Amino acid sequence: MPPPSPMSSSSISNSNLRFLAALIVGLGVVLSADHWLYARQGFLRLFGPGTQEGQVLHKVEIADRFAPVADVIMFGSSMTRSGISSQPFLEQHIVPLNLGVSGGGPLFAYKALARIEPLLAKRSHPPTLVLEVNPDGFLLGKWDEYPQFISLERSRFAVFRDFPSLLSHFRDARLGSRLFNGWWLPSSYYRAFREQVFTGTSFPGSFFYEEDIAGYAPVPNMARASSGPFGTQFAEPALSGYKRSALEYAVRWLEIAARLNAKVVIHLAPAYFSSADEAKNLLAFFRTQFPLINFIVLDPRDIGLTAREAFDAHPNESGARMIALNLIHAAALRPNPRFGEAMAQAAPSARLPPTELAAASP
Amino acid sequence: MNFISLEYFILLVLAVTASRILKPKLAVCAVLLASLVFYGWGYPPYLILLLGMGALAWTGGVAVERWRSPIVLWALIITALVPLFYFKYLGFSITTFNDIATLFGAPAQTGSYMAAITLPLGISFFTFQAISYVMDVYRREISAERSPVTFMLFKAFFPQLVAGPIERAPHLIPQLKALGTVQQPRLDLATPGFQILKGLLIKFVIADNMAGPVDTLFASAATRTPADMLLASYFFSIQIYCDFYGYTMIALGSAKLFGVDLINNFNHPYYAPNIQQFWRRWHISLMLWFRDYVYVPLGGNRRGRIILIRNVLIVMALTALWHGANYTFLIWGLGHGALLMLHRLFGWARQQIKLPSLGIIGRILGALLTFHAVTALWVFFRAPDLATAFVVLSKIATLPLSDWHVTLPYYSFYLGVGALFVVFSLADYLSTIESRLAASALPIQAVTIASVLLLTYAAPFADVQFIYFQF
Repeated sequence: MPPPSPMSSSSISNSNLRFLAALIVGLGVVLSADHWLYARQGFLRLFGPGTQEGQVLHKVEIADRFAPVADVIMFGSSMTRSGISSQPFLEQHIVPLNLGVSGGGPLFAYKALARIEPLLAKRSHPPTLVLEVNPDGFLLGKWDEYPQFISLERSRFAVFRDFPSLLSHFRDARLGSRLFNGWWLPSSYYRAFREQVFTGTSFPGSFFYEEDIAGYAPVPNMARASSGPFGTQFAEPALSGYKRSALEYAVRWLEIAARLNAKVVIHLAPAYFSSADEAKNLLAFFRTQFPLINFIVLDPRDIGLTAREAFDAHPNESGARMIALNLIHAAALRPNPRFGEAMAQAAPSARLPPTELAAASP
Repeated sequence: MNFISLEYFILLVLAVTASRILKPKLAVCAVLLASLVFYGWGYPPYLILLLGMGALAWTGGVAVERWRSPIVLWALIITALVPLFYFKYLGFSITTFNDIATLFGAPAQTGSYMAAITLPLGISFFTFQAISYVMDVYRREISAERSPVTFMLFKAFFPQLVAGPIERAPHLIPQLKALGTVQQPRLDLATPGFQILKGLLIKFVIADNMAGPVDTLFASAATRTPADMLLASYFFSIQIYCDFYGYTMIALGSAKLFGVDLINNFNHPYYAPNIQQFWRRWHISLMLWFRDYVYVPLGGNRRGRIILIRNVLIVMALTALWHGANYTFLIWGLGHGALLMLHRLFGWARQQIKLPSLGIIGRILGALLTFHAVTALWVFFRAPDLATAFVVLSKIATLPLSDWHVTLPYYSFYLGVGALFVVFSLADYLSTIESRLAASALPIQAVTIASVLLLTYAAPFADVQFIYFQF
């Protein structure tokens, strides 16, 4: 056994107090740096928006403007962000809001909808809400949605309030520890960009393709189906094969939709499904949970997409247009009589075709 | 539970507080409970294995003390080795058997055996600890511990549970018995605090950064340039040292908060002037274990040169197999055995011809030579299979390398991390950083803590498991 410490109790106490004081100062410095980098968006201001956070915050910005007036709001991954064109909606005087983000799944969809729920609740007519179903967001070992989550949910209190569900979600992805660490030091997410920061190289970027005023990011209108889009079949597991937390967040998304009394469209991501039969377990689950919702299913079988409408893993502009037209048809969306006014409110700097502006002006 | 996580630090603070404010028996129970939470955090079912091993060693110690029979001792050792064999060596044994059978004309078998079984964390560490305990009781170096709770804490004490150091009962149990008593050393926050910060820096910032290029380059060795693979071998040399040393520092610092001194597993091994010194400075607790329970019982260096060579090769082969059931580890261990033999032969020859010492120059040259020999052998340790190891070494052997102008800029960030390692390890070699910082003034401590915490922004975003957790 080691001999008792020869130091007197007062000297030990002093050295402990000194260390504790130094630790508090050190932690204070780090928390200040964290606050500036994350809460005050210092990282984005220093290094630009070419990150997942930049993409998400851009969506947040347009969501605040569009939510009070949008006729249809779409949630999902890049299969929505780049897979449902705004153009057919605008042409038919329907105000779209595309809240799809790269790698987004049910967690992001729920958080994004919950964020704008107060704005939607104030409206006399709720918008049509579209939820993308994509196996990558629902299956174990697939997307964890951490970058999307940390970029959107910026209140420590809100994270704390939802901690059990979030912990279950991130533990499924073996990221329980990251949730803890991200809770007290959210800027630790920027470690993902350390190489670029320290060597001064550009970020790989999550802002692939520019987004239009409503959040749609068109993919070049070329056919390049190298990785098997629209040919990839999804072997659906039994319901127990899905991430419990993903189902829970999808249910919470649907609960908001039900509260808002909104029309709900389930968009089966065409890169994975060739028919609604391939998501029948999931659709049956949604229908059991919400018997009062009349689900409209956007079935890829109805769309008739081919490899010509694919660019790598996503629909190209032609494909995105076809999906949007089918969505309008399936959800029976009608022109908004106050389209011009709504667009002027949501996107004041948008340059719509002059004829439409003229037509919309009172 | 990972050492580098918020939940670990919360657990540590709670356990240390409990050990300081509760009465002795409750303090031991509280630290034991924390240890079980630590081990069961990721996959609770393996707690059964840990508790089972603890129960076996505890009852075994009592039995060996009462009967002192070699049959009982060997029965206990073999029983303790069964789970280790099942989880770690069964697949390898089947593969080896099939390989040998194929040599004699049997049809070749394909497929991976036991691939679905996850190796329980730290199984090699706590198995060896259990064996050393019953052997120590058998040799009457320690009395069997009567309290099952204290003994279980000895087996499960969380700072050293999953990656050592492999603590012996005579050293650790008396310290654990002091928890909550007046014998427990007074709480010292500064030295352990800086040890933990040091561990955080070298594991999180240096080792984890090196893991990225090492994993990528070794996974695609066949298509990489010779310069790439030379860098990969240096990077891995840094990674494995910083990974294990960083872990050890956090373990030592955490234990010290309880007033428990653990063995330091490292003594600047990359500054060792020869391979023998390297093995006296690298993973010290494991090498002491093999010395005391294998090398010395086999006769050590007392029965002539041939027996000495045999014993060293046996110990190095067992050291290799302790790390993993794979031919790559075996070649790594036997390579070190061969180097140790060469060192012995050189020493004997030097005595014969009375070669003068080269002093400091000789030590520097020796350290450089030793580091490079160790780095070359690490290739076998890291490579997924022998073929990859030979590909890497054959690429490195194509000196002079002509593609530096492409390779160096591409890995500039990691070269910067490597430079940080060199500066840090030199400072660490020249002075005990944590003790100096613990005695320094408040502003210096505050700046150091803030700097280390800010440097963690240079660590990778993805979690990197401790390498030695898999052993």
